[in-house]
Amino acid sequence: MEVEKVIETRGLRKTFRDFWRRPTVEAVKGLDFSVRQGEVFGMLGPNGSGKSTTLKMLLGLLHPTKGEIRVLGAAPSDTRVKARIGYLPEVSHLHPFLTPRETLMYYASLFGMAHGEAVRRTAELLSMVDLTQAADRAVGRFSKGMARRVGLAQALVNAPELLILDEPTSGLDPIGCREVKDLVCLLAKSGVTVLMTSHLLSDVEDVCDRVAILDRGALRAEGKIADLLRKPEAVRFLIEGLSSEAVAALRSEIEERAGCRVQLDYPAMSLESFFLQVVAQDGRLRTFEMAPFLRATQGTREGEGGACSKL
Amino acid sequence: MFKAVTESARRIWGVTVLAVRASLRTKGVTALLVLLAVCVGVLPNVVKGDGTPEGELHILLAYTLGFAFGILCLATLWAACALFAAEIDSERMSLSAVKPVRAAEFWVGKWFALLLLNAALLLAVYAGVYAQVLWRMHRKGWEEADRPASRRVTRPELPTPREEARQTLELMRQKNLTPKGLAEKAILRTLEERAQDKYDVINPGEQVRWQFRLLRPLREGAPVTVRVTFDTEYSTREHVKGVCRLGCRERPGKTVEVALDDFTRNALEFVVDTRAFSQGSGGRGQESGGAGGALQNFELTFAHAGDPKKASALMVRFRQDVALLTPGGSFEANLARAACVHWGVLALLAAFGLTLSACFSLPVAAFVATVLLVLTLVGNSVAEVISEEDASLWQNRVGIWVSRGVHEASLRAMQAAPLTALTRGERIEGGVLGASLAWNGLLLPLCFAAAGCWVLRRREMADAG
Amino acid sequence: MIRPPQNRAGARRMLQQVAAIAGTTLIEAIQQPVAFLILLSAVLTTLLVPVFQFHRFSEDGRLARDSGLSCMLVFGLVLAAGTAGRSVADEIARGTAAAAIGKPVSRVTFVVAKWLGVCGVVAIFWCGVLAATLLAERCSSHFLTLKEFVGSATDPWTLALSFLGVLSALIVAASRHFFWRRRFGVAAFAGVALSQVAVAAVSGFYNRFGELYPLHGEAACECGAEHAHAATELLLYHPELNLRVLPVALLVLFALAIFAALATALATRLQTGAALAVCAGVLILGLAGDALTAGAPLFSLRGLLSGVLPDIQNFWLCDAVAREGRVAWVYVAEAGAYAATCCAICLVAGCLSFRERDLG
Repeated sequence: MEVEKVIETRGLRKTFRDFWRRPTVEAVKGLDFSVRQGEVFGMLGPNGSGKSTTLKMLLGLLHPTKGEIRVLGAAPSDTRVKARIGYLPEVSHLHPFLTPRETLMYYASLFGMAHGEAVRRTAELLSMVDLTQAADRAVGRFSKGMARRVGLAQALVNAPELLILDEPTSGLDPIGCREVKDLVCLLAKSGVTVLMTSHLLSDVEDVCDRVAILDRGALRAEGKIADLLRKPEAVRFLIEGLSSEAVAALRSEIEERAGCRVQLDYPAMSLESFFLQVVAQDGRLRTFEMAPFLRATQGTREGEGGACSKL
Repeated sequence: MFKAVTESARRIWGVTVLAVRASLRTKGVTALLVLLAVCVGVLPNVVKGDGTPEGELHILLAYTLGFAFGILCLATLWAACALFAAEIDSERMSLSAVKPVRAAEFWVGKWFALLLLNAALLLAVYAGVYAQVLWRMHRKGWEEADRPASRRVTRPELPTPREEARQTLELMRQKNLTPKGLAEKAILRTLEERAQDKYDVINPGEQVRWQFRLLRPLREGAPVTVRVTFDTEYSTREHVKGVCRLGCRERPGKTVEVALDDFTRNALEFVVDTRAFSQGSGGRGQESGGAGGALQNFELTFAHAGDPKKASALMVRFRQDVALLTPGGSFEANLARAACVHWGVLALLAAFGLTLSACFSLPVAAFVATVLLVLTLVGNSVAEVISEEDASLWQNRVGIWVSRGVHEASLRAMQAAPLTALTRGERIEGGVLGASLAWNGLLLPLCFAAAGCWVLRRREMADAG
Repeated sequence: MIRPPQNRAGARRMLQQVAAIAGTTLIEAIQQPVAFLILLSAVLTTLLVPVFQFHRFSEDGRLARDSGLSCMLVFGLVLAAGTAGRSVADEIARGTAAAAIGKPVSRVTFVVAKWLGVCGVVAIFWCGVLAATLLAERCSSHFLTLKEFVGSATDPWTLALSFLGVLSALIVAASRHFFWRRRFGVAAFAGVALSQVAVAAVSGFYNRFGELYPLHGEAACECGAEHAHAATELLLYHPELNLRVLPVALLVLFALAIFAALATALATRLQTGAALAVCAGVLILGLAGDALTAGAPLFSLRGLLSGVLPDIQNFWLCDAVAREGRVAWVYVAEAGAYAATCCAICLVAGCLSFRERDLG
């Protein structure tokens, strides 16, 4: 069965121009890609590769020089489409004089939400991002991490079908990164399509089903992470509790039978996992509790597995 | 349909609330409030008047309100210039622009915010000034005649300057006297300006007569104020004698005569009790006056009684300087009408600033707005003083063309002069108020809104990176 | 604690730092579109006065002269306060000030260098507007009584050249930007100012009727009693500019330097708009100083105000050059000393304020 494409671009091109309308930078060069419904799609690339420009074009903030964009079946400038999208920019750009509660109420009002509904969602989102205690302090006095949580909450205020996250873990500590990744996975399981960019490979690897790698505005690779990373010619055994004698015997046996060289390595825990394990002992590690309205509105895709199953 | 309208209203209200909050939580508004408080509270007590109630009223109504309104104009213009520009420059707009909000909803929401703030600030300023008027009236025990009033103004029954200009042009054509090389429009404008400034010369021993027809008939017993402003030859302020006679055509045969012998102030104003027209006539006036004894048609005669050998002739620009003033509502209502006119002007400035804000960055928008505002004020001042001699010099042509262009463009927007009306105790007529509000508060803002939304829809709300 | 440099090398390093920060401030400031717009508006407003002139104010060219000097003061104030605000307050907010202070640059050096940079911007602006003022006065209608001509005469040639100068500066800046991708703002700002100075210099080669020199003494020179030319005198170059305006304009420059110092000091704590508002308030109170403080007891609010506020009237002597009047150079020197004192006080206050300011 053909899966519905939530985002589709054809020959997408963006050229920035100077005052005289001469081209200065070709940020995106003929990009073709699509994001399917319910998947977590990662956009990878070094700084200046055109990731953020592409996102901004998908959101209608920048106008493409050439090419076609369909988001949820319509042009990005269509306000009906915007009502179904959530967006977290790389820097949260919140109004510094507003409190998180006022911020969320404001963005809820932009969706034409009734006051009672907006109040309920605001309270649920504040609780979800653990800002209930700081709900009435001005955002301008928040740390970057706290502001990021407010940014994340505003992106979810409309229970979006499509969530676009630009460097969602930027500026967050390892705990914050983990929480955001957990949330992305939870949302994905609820049926939300997620498109995220990052230059942190581990983030993408942890949560994304498919990735596109961009470099200097062009698409270099696209596909499922497992497919892209698979080395079909190599096999790895992970065995616990073998003595050194048994290891040596196994190695010589395999080398003798298969006629190939065997490499031995002793896997270690990643620093991130170790850090989170230490912090978890203090009880500081928590998982976002999905806001009830988000649970209620989205479908689920339990049991599909994907990258999130690794977390 | 209803749901769509409700949702749109909620979005507009959301934008409005945010803009109001943004304004109230910045130091700028605090500074503005302090400035207005100083203006309303301190200025009338610092500026020295001539000691008369009239002088004090003039300071309160013209200087204080004028100064406060000027501050509000600049504040509104600059705040409006900041509303879009600052949000776009700081990329905050990128968060709002991805929400399902139309450009027009953003524009209207922000405009409403400025309207609300201006309404609150204007209310505070006008209330402050009104409180001071009351306090001074109470403390100094002003006479009834000195108290601020609201009076309808009736000018002599004459053809309008435009009509007279057309008639004169027709006559000139018949006599083949039209100036060569000048467009008809230019000739008409000159003739109209001349008609507006036309004056009667009253030599000693001579008299002039003007007919008045009140827009609304006056009940018997109501006061009529006669106002005549004049100039003497060579603008000397000398002692001149004269006699003013006011008659009512509904009460023929009876006139009120006022002898005047102090013309050193170049203006005279006196009140006539209309009961005087009926005294001694045994109610004859009521019979001939028709509907409930209402008075509507008056005749004013002005006789120069000075020494024919010594006294100067008087010059009266009869279209501007002669008027009958009749009661026209309360001062409070007139004050409210003046506030509404000012609110309309502020609404126009807010709309203008918002549209510039959608087009340019904050410094450029603020600069362009200020320059255009100054150009409008200067252009209007220059347009009023251009003489025919000036207009004939080729090097002045660009200046005159620009000044007249600015004057024509802003004529309707600046037509109502509420402070002049307030200080002169003249009622701001409903028509003037309606036209001012419709023009400044609706039509022009609509044009600016259309332009602003067009730009907003096309403008990229984010930059590279 | 402010320590003087220990040796000559230290002093040289400090001067290098000052020059570097001031130069960067100057370039950064003049490439802002708003700086260019302010200069352009001041120059165009000044040059347009002869076009819009409908009053003589009892002296030929007086309206143009007074308007030019007013533009110099008002637009200069906006430029000085705006530039100081952007280059100090905005840099503190953006963190670039912290980056500079993170290097071996003292906070005093930073504040003083910023002020010098702002003064540089103001000085370029001043040159342009002064030249435009001199040209506008020359272009205004003057009543001449010459051998061959009696009547009012304007100087359309110079006026046209002045506008052409502005246009040329814009075209040159635009061409540099188009062909060599050089910054438009810098070239346009400097170009507009220089074009007016150049036109002022060139205007000495012809008289107001457009006749090229050399001409004999009675050539349409409006110098009158100032320096009547003998009929036989051969004039090769004669800039018919009212140079008596120069000392008055210098006084305005001093006032602008004070406002630059005040705005720099204020910008260490306030935003640009607030600094501009305070400067505008000081200008109004300073000009109305006599009226506000006359006869005030020393120990009173008004007395305190008169002591604290710089007396801007000392720098506004527009009327002094009316009807062939002059301002003595001794007075200019004294006013310069007064301005230097005011600037020093403002800068000390600014340094003290900036010393306690948290950055980053």
